[in-house]
Amino acid sequence: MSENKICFADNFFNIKLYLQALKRLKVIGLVTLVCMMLFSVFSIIHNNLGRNSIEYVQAHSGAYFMMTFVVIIIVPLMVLILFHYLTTRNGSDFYHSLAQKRRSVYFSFVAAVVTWAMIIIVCFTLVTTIAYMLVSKLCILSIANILAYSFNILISCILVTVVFALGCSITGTVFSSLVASACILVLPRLIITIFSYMIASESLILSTDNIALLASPSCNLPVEIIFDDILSLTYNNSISSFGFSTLYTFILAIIYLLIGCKMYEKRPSETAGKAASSKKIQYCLRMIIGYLITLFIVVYLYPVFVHNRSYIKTSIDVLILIFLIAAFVMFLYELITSRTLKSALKALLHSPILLPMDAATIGLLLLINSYTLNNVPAASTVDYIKVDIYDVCEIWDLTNDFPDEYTLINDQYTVDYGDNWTNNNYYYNGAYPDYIFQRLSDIELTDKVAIEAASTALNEYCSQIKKNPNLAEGSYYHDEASDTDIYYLYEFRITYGTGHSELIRHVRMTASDAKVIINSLLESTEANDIMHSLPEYDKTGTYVSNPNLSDDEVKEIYNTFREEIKNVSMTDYLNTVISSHTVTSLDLYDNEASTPSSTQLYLTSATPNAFSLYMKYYNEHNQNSFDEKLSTALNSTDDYRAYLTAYIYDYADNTVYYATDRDSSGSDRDLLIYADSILDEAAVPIPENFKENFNPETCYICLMYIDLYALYEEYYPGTDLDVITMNEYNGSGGIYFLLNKSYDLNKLINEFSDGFETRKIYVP
Amino acid sequence: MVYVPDELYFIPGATINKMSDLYRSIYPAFDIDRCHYLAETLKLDEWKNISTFSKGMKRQVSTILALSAKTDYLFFDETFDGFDPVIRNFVKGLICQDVLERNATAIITSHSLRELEDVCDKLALLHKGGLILQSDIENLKTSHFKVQIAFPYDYDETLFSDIEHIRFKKSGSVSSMIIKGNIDETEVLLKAKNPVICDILPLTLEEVFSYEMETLEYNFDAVLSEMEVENNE
Repeated sequence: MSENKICFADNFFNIKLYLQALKRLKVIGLVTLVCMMLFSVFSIIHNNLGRNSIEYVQAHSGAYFMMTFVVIIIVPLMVLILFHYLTTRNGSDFYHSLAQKRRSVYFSFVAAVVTWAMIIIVCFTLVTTIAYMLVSKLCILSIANILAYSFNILISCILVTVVFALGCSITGTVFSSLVASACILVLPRLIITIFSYMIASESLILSTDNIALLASPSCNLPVEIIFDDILSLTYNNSISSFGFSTLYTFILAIIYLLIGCKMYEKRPSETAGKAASSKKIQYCLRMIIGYLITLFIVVYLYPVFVHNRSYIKTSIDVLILIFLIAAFVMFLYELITSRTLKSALKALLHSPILLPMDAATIGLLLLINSYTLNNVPAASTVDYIKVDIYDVCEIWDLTNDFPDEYTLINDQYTVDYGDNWTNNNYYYNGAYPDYIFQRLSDIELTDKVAIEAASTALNEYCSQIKKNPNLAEGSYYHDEASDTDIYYLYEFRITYGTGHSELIRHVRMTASDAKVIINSLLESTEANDIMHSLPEYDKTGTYVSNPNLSDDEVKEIYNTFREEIKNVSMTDYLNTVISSHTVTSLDLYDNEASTPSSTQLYLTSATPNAFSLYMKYYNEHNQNSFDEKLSTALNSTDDYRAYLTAYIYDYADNTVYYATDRDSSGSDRDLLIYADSILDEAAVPIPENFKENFNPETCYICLMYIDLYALYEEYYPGTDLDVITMNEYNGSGGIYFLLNKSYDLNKLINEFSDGFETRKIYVP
Repeated sequence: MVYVPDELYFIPGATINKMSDLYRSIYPAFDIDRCHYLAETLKLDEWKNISTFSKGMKRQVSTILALSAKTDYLFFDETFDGFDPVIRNFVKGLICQDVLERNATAIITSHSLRELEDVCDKLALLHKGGLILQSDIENLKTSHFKVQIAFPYDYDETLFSDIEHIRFKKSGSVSSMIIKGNIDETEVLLKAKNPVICDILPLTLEEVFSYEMETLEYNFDAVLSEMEVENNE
């Protein structure tokens, strides 16, 4: 028997061909790896050198982000290198003449590219993680997050590899390979995303990520990398966690691998140098490109059909222009790829087929829209609901008997807030999901009353949308039965769990339905457990901090807070935070889950011991600084206003400023007018010898920071001089004035409140 | 099976060593020593980039790689075109060696039939994608032969109606014919007609090819004659 007999295993994979392919890619592989590692280490060291603040490192935004370069550039390049022989006749002849089965060559080469991708990812992740660990005091890593990200990058590399291999198999030139590969990789998801956005934007009850599982733009991980990280068109961040996207991408890769293998096996050598391996494929590529352009017609016409059909006539010329552009592009593509005018003209003749394709697309979208409005689960079929709260203020509104109705005030429909107006003091750190609200949204509410309210609300809302397709967000509808206007004041994203599936809808509802749902949520055991079961200070993955305090002080305050908050319900905690003026807080980071979260734990009257402890340490740290600055200010000038200015600059370390420009337009001018009038009324009469006669015992030095959006102030007890200081991270203009201690501060606030948002000053 | 194409292919930037590495991965019986030996014999630098070689040298590289693969079947497509006569004979010798020692089968295509005569056992003629003739070389030579014959009397082609002939050309009293058939039997028939001259000459493969093609009207003699007439005019 000849030594050259090919064994069965060689029918699918040839180890030597695989090793050969690995060798051929070693230069690009090693250069990429070394460059990435060096760049990563240098950037980590550079970014952390001399830095004092803590950084919470997330894989997709840290140095690990460089791995996207492997997905988008390196892997396609490797595939094009290995499969380059398919673009030349002699190369194709050579490889097609090999004794091994064609699929053996195909799988061996694909495996080689994937192997190199894996080597680069593993080595790079290791080196980068070690580099971060060297600066671990400044950087908090989530190993789960990093592992998930790296694994997803590898899956993405596999998909990109097989897509480009498929692209090479069905075409015969580098240009057409790139076009075909890009079409295969991006276009399906791009088209689905466009459809998703269109349906969601006209739907009112859907959002782009909850039309259907497979319709989510983040299903396809490489496409998510392109849209999220490269082009910043969307933000989904599925790549940072294991989930459906990982599985979907992997299955898609397997499908494309098998299709690519089949196409490679059937590919004749004559395809080399041509645009496509067959006329059918060339036709499909051409039509896809044309269809993509005519999607603008669909994007324009779909809302017209959903809402108002009268726009069509006025825009016929635009639609015709789009179609002509599509036809021209098809002509040009055919001319470039086939290099014959005859084929290009034939392509032009096929372009009218795009019109029925667009019509069918619009029909399909209308069908989906109709289905979503009719697919309303009955309360009896719903096992649980989950609620995402968008606006924290709504919690206060709904748990404090906020008024239900809008009234007509000054020709504007608004709510008569009366004395109940409050201001949102809850600060979101937008970089990470909020610890509290993330957990609130995961609670599966099984309260039947809440489920009934949610189902009823959805049913009502869908009915109104169907009756009135132009029902705008946040508006009202007229109920003829009761002859009243019903306002949708509140909107929540609600997940309806039915059987083994979940239905996610944005539901606008009345205050009465919203109250039932929110109160049920906040009063649930799970909701209260969120604050009653805060992680221990030393727990792995937990980090608590405050920029003004030491680690030991933070630990003591946090532990005190943990104990005190166990006696506070979630409702009371949130209400206190929202209505309180204090911005004293601890920052909690939690990276136990693959998606890290954070929140600010507010120290309020709900937890007086923790708050007092905070102020004690804060004052201890700043006592000398306060005294020194006051002393400096007192010695600086005789001029009253200049004194205040100097005092403010010295006192607050230039983190706040006093707007002295009386000619500034708009709101600053109003602020100054107010300040002057209050100063005139409440300020201590300026003594002739101001410095000698100034008695801090009798005055407030009121540093009240005001802007149009919020009002901050922090009470500073513990000194002989009652000084109200500013929160040091504010940076806009403010009004400062000297007040007689006998002056009625409430009156002051009330006078300020006209036209401004204000809060009550906390006076011990 | 190993294939040496007409248009050669090498991995971009490859050297003989790199290519032999590739062949070793493809062909389990690849003989690296033989490859080194042949490269050395033909004075080919194994570390030099093949793209810098001349056309003939590239063809030599391709051939020695194929010969080193030690496969059961070797396909050579227009391989000898780029070789000088010395190399050509050397390569022919190597192929014959493989055939004899390893019972390998070599399939060689060429437009120069003269080269194949002394190397091949069998011949097949392809025309427009189809096989028009397939035979042993020896058989072909003995079954196709040329006869030059003259008679003391007047005659024409009908005299030879009992003999299968492809071509008949009479110039004066001497005729030449291409005859298909048994040479001995034909000789007897011809001698029975009492010729003055009767020479039986073997045909070269090129002549066999030309005459077979002529029957398929694949011939440009008429065109040449017309051009000649026009020139004379």
